[in-house]
Amino acid sequence: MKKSVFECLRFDEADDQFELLETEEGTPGFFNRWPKDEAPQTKPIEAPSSESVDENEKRLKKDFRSDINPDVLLRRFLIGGTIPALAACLNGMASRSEINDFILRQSMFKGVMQGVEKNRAKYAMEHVFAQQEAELEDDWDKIKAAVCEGRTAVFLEGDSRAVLMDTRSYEQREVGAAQNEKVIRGPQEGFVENLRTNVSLLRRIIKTDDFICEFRDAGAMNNVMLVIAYRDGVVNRKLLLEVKRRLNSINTRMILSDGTIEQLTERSSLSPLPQVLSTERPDRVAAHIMQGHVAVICDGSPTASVMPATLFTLMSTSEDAYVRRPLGTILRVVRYIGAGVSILLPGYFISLALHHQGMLSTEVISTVIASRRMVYLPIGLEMIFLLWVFQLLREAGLRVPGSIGQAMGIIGGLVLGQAAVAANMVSTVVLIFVALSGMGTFTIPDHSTQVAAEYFRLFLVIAGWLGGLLGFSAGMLALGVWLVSLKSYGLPFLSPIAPRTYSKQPAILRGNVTQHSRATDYTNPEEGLS
Amino acid sequence: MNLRQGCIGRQESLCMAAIAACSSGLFTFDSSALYSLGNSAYITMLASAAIALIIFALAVNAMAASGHESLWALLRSGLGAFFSRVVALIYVLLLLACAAMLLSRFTLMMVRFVFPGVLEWKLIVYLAPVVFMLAWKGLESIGRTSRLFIWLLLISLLGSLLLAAFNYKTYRLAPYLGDGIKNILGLGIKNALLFFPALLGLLIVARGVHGPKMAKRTGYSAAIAAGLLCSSAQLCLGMTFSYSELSKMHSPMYRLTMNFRSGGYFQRLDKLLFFGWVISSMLAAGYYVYAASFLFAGAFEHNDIRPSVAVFSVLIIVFTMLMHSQAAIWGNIERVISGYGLLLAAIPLLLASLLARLKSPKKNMQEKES
Repeated sequence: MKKSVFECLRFDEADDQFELLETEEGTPGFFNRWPKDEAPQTKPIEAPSSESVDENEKRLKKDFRSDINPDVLLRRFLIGGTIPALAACLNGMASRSEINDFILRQSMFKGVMQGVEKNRAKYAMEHVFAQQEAELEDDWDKIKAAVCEGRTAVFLEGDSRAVLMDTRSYEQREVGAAQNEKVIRGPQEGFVENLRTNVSLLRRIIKTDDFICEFRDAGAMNNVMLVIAYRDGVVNRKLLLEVKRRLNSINTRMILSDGTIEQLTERSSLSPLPQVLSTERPDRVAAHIMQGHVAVICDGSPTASVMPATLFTLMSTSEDAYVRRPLGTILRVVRYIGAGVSILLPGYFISLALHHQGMLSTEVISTVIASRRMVYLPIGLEMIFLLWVFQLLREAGLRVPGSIGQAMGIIGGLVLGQAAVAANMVSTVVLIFVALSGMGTFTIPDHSTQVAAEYFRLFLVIAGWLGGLLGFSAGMLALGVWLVSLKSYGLPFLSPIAPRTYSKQPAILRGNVTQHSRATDYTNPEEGLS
Repeated sequence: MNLRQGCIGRQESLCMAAIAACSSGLFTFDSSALYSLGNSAYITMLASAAIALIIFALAVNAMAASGHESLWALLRSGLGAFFSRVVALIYVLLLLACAAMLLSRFTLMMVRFVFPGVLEWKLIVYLAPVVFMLAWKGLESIGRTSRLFIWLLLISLLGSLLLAAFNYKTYRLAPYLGDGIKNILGLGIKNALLFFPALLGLLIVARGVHGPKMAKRTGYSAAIAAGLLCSSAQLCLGMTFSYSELSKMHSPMYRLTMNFRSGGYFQRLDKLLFFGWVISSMLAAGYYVYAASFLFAGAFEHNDIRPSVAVFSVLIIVFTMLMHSQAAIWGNIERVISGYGLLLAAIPLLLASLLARLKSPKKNMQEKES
């Protein structure tokens, strides 16, 4: 009691509190810049596993801190009743029934290892353990990584190699409909967080012997696996090597999603536009792989990254290919017009209304003047304010649960819009332009591209506000220059329009399905052009 | 094909050269000289394009025959280290002057018709950064942006010619051949300098457009396209205004757009079309600055052209500002350039081509074989 009263009256720091940053070495610079990261330290090479089971057990206990980490299961037993052995796995990651029935039960038959003095692990793998996927390994790091993944390692006395068996079994989400890329016609399946399941979803679509799924370590400290999927003999080798080169250069603390991989491998990191296509639809990924693209899928992420990506890839949906050509063409044209209106309209309107009133008809200009009669914000600021409010509503609607989010979007938009007009903060004309451009943004299928379109719109609004049509056209040209200079894994972002390629498939209009053999000439697939 | 870095395709190079030639041909000609003796500018433009094309053809054929992949290599081979650098400097100045003249003309048009009373430097602030950005990003970006925006230029140009069509009267073309063929040829030679820098740029960046053979094809197409387009525009101008009016007019192309039928929406399209031209002028200026920087870096053995791009971008701002503030002096300089510029540009080039061809290992080998 005394102590707590005393602590309440203390104004200095309590004994059990500490500032974490005080324990860090060094201090940040004046502008909060920490010294640059030093070169990555190479991990010390671990000694291979021992021939002694006791020694291996001690080492595993030490490495996995088994005294405070009860998840690690280290089971001692005798194979064939004579040879000491140790099974190591992680509880909850490995299947209990598989270990019991196909490893332990098989091992405990008397005499199964009779007379085997050399290569015990190999003999046990071939004659004792009834496991589909098994391999021998003496690299200590790989053994530990395998155990962390959910595999079971069995050490046998007298053999330094461990038998690694695939006993992975853990809870995962069922394959369901793609949440963010819904289509009316076509497959509904979406990727899940499990890498193997995702690969199987792709293999169900691409049933060819040249479809390769390379499993490899992502290069992060959390030992995440990723898959590089492509069609051997079709994909451009240079592209594939470039993807692998960039993936090899990853050296980071953790990778939790393919978004991190995207950021670590892209070249224009300040670009608002993505340089890979991120999709949760296996059919879309499969379509690109069939045409010579490369896909990277990361364990724990329900999306795949397809590279290279162009603007036209980001503007298309999988449904475009499933509907008939005229309908697909109309859908795409509407989408491109929507995107164009979204980016250009507010800036163009500001330019005319502020600098070139002579270009507007008397009716239009009098409507604008009448609606802005009591508005006290300058028109440029009014436009930027409304664009910001639109973003605010959108972000708020995204972050709250489904039905509430929708309601918030509608009610917020209506109420705020009405109130802002009534309070003379904004005019109805500007409100309509912002709403139109906002609607146009939603026709862009890719979320990152939507966000990029919003940046472009703001840039053009500011350019038009300051310089009228001169600022607007200079801004448009600057955007164009920047877009054409952007590259995705060496591929110009506006291919196949700028630069023009031999592709017969139109970039904006939906092409004929029979032209798919020459659809992606711009990726230079190795498969001969037909 | 497209994963190869640093080269642009035929379409991109054609659009780039054609935009530059059209912009210079349509917006930087000297009205008082061109219309002083009659209304035959539409033939003069064709003659100018043809003369520029002939000079280009001689040079590019010499490059192909002597195995040189850029203008700098040709000059060095033909004229030696010192004189080639002097000629390179002349070309750099010519290209920068063309870029500055374009920007200056458009700035003046804006001050007169779009933003009356605004100081020129305030307008250059918008144009120069984009020109710098284009040149900084390099040939790929210039070529591809030209490919992307060529439609805008064509629509804005052909749109303005079509919308003014109701006002065309053929009698205004009289006297039909101006002051005779001799005068047309004289003006044609003088005005060939309008088309020549765009083709000179192609010679400079020949390696970037897949070598002299591709540059030749591109240059021919660009010169023919630009010649036809400029000639058509001059024909339309000639049918809209009399030559005495045109000889006193500052921006005949903009005046043409102000002449649309009144009472409808088209009447208000002049500024919109004008900014289509502004985009093409920025592209052309970016191309000129890039070509000048590329040549300068080659001549003075710089590994990176970006410092030159930065300096030349500042230089064209200075030139443009001087063209406005010291209009009388620059008017005289402009007259000298348009009068003797072609001679100054063509003679060293033709001489270098001839000498390089004589010295070329290919020719020597052929002689030995024969």
